[in-house]
Amino acid sequence: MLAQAVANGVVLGALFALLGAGLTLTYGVLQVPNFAQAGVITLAAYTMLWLNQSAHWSFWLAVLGGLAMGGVVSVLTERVAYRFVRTRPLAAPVVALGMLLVLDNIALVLFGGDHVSLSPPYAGDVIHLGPVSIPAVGVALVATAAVSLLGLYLFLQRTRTGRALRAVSQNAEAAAMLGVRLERQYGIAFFISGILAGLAAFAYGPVYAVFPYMADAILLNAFVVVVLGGLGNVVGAAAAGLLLGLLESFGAVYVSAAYQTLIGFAVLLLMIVLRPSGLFSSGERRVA
Amino acid sequence: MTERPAILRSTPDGSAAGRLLRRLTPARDYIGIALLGAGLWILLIETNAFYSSVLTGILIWTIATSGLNIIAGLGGYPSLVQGAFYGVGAYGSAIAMQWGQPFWAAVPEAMVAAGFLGLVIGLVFSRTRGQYFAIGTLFSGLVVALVLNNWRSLTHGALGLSVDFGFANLDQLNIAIAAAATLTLALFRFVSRSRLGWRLLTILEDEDLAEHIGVPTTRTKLTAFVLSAAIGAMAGTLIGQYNGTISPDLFDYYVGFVMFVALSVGGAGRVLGPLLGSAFIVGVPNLLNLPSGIGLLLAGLIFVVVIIVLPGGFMSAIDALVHKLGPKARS
Repeated sequence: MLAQAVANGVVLGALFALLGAGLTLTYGVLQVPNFAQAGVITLAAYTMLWLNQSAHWSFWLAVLGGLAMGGVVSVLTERVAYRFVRTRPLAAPVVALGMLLVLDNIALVLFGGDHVSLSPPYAGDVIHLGPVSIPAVGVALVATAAVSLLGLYLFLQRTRTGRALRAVSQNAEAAAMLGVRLERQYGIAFFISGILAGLAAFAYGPVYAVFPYMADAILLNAFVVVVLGGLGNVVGAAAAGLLLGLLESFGAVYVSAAYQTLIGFAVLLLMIVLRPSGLFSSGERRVA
Repeated sequence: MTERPAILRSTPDGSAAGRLLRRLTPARDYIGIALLGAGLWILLIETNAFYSSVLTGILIWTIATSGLNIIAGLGGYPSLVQGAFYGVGAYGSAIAMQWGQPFWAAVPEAMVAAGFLGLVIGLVFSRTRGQYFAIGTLFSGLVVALVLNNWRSLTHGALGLSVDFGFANLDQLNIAIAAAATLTLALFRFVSRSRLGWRLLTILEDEDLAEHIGVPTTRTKLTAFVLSAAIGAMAGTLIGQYNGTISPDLFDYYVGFVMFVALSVGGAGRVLGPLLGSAFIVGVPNLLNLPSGIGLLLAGLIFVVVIIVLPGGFMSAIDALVHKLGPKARS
C-alpha cells in the first residue's frame, strides 16, 4: 500500500514537474501566469490523437506532430496576446485565462467533448516491481519527465541561448543592454514551454483521458508547484513537483481520492501564509 | 485595468449649467438607475418567454458581477472566485429552505455564509498581489466546485438539488429580480463614492503608498471582498429560484472567471459595466442560440481583444463617444 502510493506519487509528481517547468520558464521571462498552457496541452493531445487515429500516422510520428503543434500554438499565444500586455501586469493573468478559454473551446468545437484515450503501442503493459505494479504508461511518463527536465536543465546551463534565457529571466532590462534580443528570447521560452506541454500531453493522454478540459485542474496544481519551487526556478519546480505528487498520492490513499486536488490547495495556503518566497528560492521574487 | 479609473478623471466644466449638473449628480445617478431598473422590469414582463429568460440571465449576472465590481473594479484585485459565492448563495438558500427556513430568512443566511467564506479566502489571499491573487482565488473556486460535487449528503453531488419556491408566481419573481438588480447597481454607485470606495481606489492606484498615508489596506480589502461575496450569493439565490433546480456544473470553477471577463469587457469600476458586460457575455450567446463551446470561444476571443485594444471596456468606448458628441457630463 505504502510502496504503491509512493509509486503513484512519483508518476503524478513527474507530470506536475513537467508542467511546472514550462510554467516557471514563461513566468521567468514574461511574468505571465500562463494558464493557456493547459489549452496547449489539450490541442497537442488532440493533434496526436487525430494524426494517429484519423490520418493513420504511426504513433511516434503522431507524437512528433503533436509536439510541433504544442510549440507552434504556444508561440502563437505569445505573439497574438501576451506581447500586448507586457507592460500591464494586472491584465496578464486574465488574458492568459482568455487564451485558455479560446484554446480549450477550439478543441471542443473541432473534436467534440467526449473522453477519448490516446493509446501508445505499450498501452496494456504493466511492470511489476515486488508488491508494486506500475502501468507502462506511468513508467513512460516518469522517463519522459526525467529526460526532458534534464535536457532543459543542461540547455539552460550549458548553451549560449540557455544562458541568454536565464539572463532575461533575472533582469530583462540589463540583458537587453548587454545585447540579448528580448523578442527572440520570449519566442524561444514559449516554444520550449509548448514542447514541454506537448510532452505532458504525450505522457498524460494515455494515463488519464483526452478531452477539452483535460489539463485545467491539473494546471492549477502545477501553479502550486511553481509557487512551491520558487518563481522562475526550474530545478525547484522539478523537486516541488515530485513533493506535491507524493503528498497528493498519499492524500488520495489515506484521506479521500475525491478531494485529492484539495491537498494542492492546502499546500498553496500554507506556502502563502508561511513562506511566500517558495521552498527553493533565494527570495528574489515574493508571492505575497 | 491599469488605466486610471474614470472616476478619478475630473471633467472641468466651469459653466453655471455644469456646476448645477455636478451638484445634482448623486440624485441624477440614482434616478437614472431607478428608471433603468423600471425599464428592465417592463422589458422582463412584456417580452415573450424566450427574451424574458435571456434578460433574466443577464440581470442575475449583473448582480453577481456588480458584487465583483467592488473588489475587482474599485480595488483592482482580480478575484476569480465570484462563481463560488454565486454557488454558495444558490446551494445555501436551497439547503436552508429544505431545513425549514422561510425564503426571506434563507436569502440573508446564504449571503452571510458566502460572506464568511469570502472572509476566510480573503484573509489568506489578500496578502498576495495581482497574479497570485488570481491564481489563489481561481483555485478556491475549484475547491468549492469540488465540495459541491462530492459532499453528497448535503448537495446530492452531480445530480443537484431541487429548490423550493420562495415566490408565489413568476410575476413576483420578476419584480424581485429587477428590484435586486436595480438595488445592486445603486449600492455599487453608493459604495464607489463612499469612504470604502475611495480607499479601494487608493489601493488600486498604489497599494504601498495607500498603506503609507494611513489607509487600512487589509481591512479595506477584506470588507470589499466580503461585500462582493455576499452580493454574489444574492445572485445565486435568485438563479436557484428561477431555475427550480441547481447542480454543480452551474457553478464550476470557470464561472468565476467568466464573470470577471464580463466585468472587464463591460467596464471595471463603472456602475453600468456589469450590465453591459453581462448583456454581452450571457445575452449574445443565448440570443444567437450558440452552442456552449462556440459561445465560450467567442467570449474568450472578444475578451482578449477588448483587454488589448480597450483596457477600460465598453464603458470607456461609450465615454469616448459621448465626449466626441457633446460637452454633456456623463453619468
